[in-house]
Amino acid sequence: MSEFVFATAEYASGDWESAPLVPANLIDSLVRYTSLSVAPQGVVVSLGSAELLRYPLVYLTGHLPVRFTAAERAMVRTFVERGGMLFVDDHNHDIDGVFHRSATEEIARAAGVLHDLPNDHALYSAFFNFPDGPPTTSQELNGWGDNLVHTHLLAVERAGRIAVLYSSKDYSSEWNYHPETKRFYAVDNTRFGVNIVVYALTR
Amino acid sequence: MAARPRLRRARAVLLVGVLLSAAGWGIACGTALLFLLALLDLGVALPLYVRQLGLVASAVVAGGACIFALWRNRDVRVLSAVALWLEHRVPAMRYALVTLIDERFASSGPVLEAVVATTEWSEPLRRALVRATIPLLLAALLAASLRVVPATILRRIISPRRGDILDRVVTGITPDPLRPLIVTVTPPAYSGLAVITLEDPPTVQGLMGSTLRIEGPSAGASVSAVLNDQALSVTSMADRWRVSLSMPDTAAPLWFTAGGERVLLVLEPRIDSVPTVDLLTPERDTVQRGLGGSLRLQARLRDDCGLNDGWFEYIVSSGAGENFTFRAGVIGRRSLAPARAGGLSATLQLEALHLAPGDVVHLRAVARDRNIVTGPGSGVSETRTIRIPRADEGDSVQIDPAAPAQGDSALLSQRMLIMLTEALERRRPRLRRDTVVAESRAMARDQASLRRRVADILFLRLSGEASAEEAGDTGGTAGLSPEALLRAAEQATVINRGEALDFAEDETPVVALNKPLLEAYNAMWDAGRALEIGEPGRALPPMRLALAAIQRARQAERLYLRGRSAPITVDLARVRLTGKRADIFPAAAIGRPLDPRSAEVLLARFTQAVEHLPAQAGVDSLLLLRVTALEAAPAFAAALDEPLVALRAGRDATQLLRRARGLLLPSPASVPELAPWGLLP
Repeated sequence: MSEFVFATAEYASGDWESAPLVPANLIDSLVRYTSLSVAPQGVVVSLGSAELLRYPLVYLTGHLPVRFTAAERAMVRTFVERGGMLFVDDHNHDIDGVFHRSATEEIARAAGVLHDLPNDHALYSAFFNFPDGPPTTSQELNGWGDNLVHTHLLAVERAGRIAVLYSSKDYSSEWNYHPETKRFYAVDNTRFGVNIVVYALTR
Repeated sequence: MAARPRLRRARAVLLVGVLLSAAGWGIACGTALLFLLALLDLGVALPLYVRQLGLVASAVVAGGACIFALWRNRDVRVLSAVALWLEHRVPAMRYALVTLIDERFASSGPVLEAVVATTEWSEPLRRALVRATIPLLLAALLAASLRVVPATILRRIISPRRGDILDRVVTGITPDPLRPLIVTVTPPAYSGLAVITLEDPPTVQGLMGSTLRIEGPSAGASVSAVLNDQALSVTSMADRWRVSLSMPDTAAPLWFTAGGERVLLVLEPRIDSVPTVDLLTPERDTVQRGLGGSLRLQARLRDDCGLNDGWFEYIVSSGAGENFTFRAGVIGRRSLAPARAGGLSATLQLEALHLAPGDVVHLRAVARDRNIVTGPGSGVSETRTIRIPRADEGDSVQIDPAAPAQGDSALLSQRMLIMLTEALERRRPRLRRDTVVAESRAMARDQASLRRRVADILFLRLSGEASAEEAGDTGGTAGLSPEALLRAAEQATVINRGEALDFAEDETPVVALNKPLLEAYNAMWDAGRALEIGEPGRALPPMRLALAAIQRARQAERLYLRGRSAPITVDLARVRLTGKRADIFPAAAIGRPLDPRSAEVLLARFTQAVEHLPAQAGVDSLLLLRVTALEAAPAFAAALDEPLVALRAGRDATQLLRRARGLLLPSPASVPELAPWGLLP
């Protein structure tokens, strides 16, 4: 069995590299809590290249408007059709709703329309149990951006599994710290990231 | 009347006769073919293409017969031929008429005129006219015979169309109610598409929102129709049954049942495609120097059913890092209905956008179609970005705000140190003095580590070299001692305690930018001293000053080279607690045993070097000893690495040196015959 490689999507528009520490942090959590075989380094993969199809889970984030090129749109469509899972997180805290509007529009065009993911979905019990749905981030509690605590994640589902997971909760800010700093947290806030990876690999 | 005018009148009469005859033959032949086709269709239902070919063939035959008749009587145009035709039928003229119209015998004209004048030729002309009406009568007879054919059959022959099989009612034959099925698809009005009729199709394709009319021959048996397990209403008429419905949203089976037989029809909705939009100009992303000027925007639009309108959209994003603001707008909106292809053009005045350096304009074209059933469908082009560079990146527009390189976050932060110090201060009344001093000194070491990190950043920026503090520790001539560094820093900042620094007019931006860090650096020194003597309460004010200064330094504008930040490699074995500590040297890792004599020599040099510590001479001696030991005792050489790094950084290296010395000592030897306790020599 080959090892899991955490992939971050590079796209032509926007600042795709805005959360550079998230991959290492999630890799650290995967190693810490699971027995999955994990590559010690994440990779950056171009959203418009066929390389994308080598990774079961691809993480996409940014602050600026998301506009896929034709090649990126086609590859995302192929990616989800072949069983890949795209995790999109709004790093902009939904300020002015620009990332949200543009990203959801592009997702709808490439993969399908997003809908509310029920808070008792299998994603929330894939490894750790989150009985109340997606964990709240400090960005939400501090009133950043749209001043909302989002109660649901959004998703596009294909054949009974999540093909695109969309978050307005800004996990990219929440998880963007060096793994070494994790020792100062009373509760590791990256545990939900473990659920996302485990779900993508097992469902 | 003279002979020549009479002859011309006779030619006109004959010409009328020829035309009547040709028309009669044409109509008669064409009608005969249609009659034949109708008789055939009465017996066997002729396919649509046969009937269409028959109609064309009838026209061709009619035209051919007509032309043939005209060709046969083509001589009627020539006056001499008409004269001969008359001479043949009135012999009494004895060729007087023919000779009269011949120019060569003009001199005999009066004599011949007299002969012709006395001759009557109206009878042959009358008979010719009568003969010419015979084909017309024949055509009328054939046309009348068509009436014996049923009108529905005749309509199928004369105006064949798809789906008219239901019109072919034949007496005495009971039709199959499910064959044929005639489907008429009426697309939604907005699409402008034509109505299509299908005969017995296995599948029916149509635009979503189309109206379907499905008909079959009425045969007395009741017909039922079920779509997606839902029964549809069936209307019975005199000669047929009919079901009307709208095209469903998704492909669905439509079952018809009559008298125990079932027929399946699959309905396949076709989705109205969204418009295709190509942004022609600007051709690519670009950087726009200056805040003025205009941009020409052009786009090409296409849609399968028809465009409604189109426009250009822009979003201006301002800011960097975590602080962004956005403005959006629309220009060049234009109605395009009902064209299926079109263009958009507009001019974007950059002044109107009130751009500032660092802003990015995102541009795209958008088009909507006329779909009022499931739409309108909206198509967008690729997005182009126009970036306004900042003034300070004029020499390299490739510089973009990007993620900063990550510092060593394993260090305790200033905020964390303040919290620990506050906690110690609260516990202080309950603790012994030596405990307070020990914990306070431990925090002083952390404070010193953080201060050195600040110094690294500071001196790298100011001088382009590594930490001058470090150089001071090692006694380098170019470096500064901590005290000298403090004095220099104080001189540079010229501050009063607790006051924020202001930039002087003559300072360079680099110095101005780093003043908060210098202030933090000074305050850390003060805090470190207070912690060293076990006074955490006195350390807190400068620690808070340092934190405030660091926060101010963070607000400074920064630019980083755009690119991928260095990936962090997670030490998987360490996280899983399955690795090995690098600072422990098990016996197996040491390799070959050290020669006792060499060990003695190395140990002697090691002891001498340690005696000179912490002076630079001692550090240098250890460095030279490490070089010597690389060959003879590589494990010992490797073990010297860490204490040397610690010494250079001003840290306590006692434990590390002790571990290195242990590698030179002889291994404990076992004695097989160990004497009993108390009997050891």
